[in-house]
Amino acid sequence: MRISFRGRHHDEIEFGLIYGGIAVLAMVALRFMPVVRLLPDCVFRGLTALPCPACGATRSAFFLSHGKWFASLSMNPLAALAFASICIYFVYSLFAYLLHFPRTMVVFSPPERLRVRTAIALLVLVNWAYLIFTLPSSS
Amino acid sequence: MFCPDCGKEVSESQAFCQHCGLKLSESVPPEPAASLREKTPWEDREQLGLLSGLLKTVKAVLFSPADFFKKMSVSGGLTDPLLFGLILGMTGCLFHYVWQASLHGVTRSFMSPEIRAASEYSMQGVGLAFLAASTPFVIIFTLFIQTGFLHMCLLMVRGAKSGYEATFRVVAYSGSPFVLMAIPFCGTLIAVIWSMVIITIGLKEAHETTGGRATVAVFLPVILCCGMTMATAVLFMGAIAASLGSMMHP
Repeated sequence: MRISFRGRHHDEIEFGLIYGGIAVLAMVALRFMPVVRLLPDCVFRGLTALPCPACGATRSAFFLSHGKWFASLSMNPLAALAFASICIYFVYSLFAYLLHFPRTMVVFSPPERLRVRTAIALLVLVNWAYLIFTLPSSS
Repeated sequence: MFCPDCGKEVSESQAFCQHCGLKLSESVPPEPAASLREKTPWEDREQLGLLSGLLKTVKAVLFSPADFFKKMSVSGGLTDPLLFGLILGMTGCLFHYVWQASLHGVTRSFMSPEIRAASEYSMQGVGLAFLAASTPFVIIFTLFIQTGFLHMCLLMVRGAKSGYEATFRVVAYSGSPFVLMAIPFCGTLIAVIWSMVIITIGLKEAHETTGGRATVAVFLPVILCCGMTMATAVLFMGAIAASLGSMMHP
């Protein structure tokens, strides 16, 4: 793995601003608007009576937007960490864009990329197992 | 020298290749392979005209998606495909709202009480104005969210050879079936299914990957996140309608 710093390229897509901005807006909507009442039921859960890998993600974001970090983690740990990371990354991207900070670039070798993919897949599976054993199943 | 047809070594003094029989004296060296990718009709609308470019792109995506995405340029900025996706998305939403308003009495029995209340208030006055104002943003957010999920899944299955921009272009142009939302009742379902098929074909051609990887990339977010992508799309619209509902009836 190689970490380096570089300046912003001319036509570079600002992923941090786009996706971080969406995440921050979603947090604001969850904080101030009664959105949770309108969300559709989980189709996967309806068919299998088991929570899907993303079950609890919206409630996790809801609790995070209200500052209840532990409640957010208990709903869906991976989603809570992902939302928090994206929001922090948005702040970093905003400052980097406005103040022309150098951008962090992480480059993986092909064997390292395989390990990263495997680690992500394992994380999702472990998170899913946690949800299956902790979230109540539907009747 | 080498035979331009079979690639085997031949003597320069020979008139015919002794391996494949090609007449060497009249054979022309193969030209360097030119890039097969070009602007879409929508991106070439300055030459073709706005409506002509739009209609040709919609027709090509609907009826020959493999050819369209095989030829589609995978670079050139996000603005043009974003604009295309926005226009088709707004068109689909317009049809959806018209049918919702016209057929509300028929469909309301299938809705939950909260959605029914939000739907009723969103079809009136201020609610309608807020809905109209928020729809373009919801469409844009949905495009980026869907692209993000798809591209991440494509990276996981090692199918992303052409970069994020290619995935975004595929997602944006695969909004062409949304014109089918003009059909009442089943139009939305047909549009969504047709769009998913087109996305699968588009990812395969744009990233020059296998159909299997493209299919897994399309269905993995559905399996992993099921309602979440849909939930994000309705997030803002539902939020505004619900808040208006609670404001009008505290």
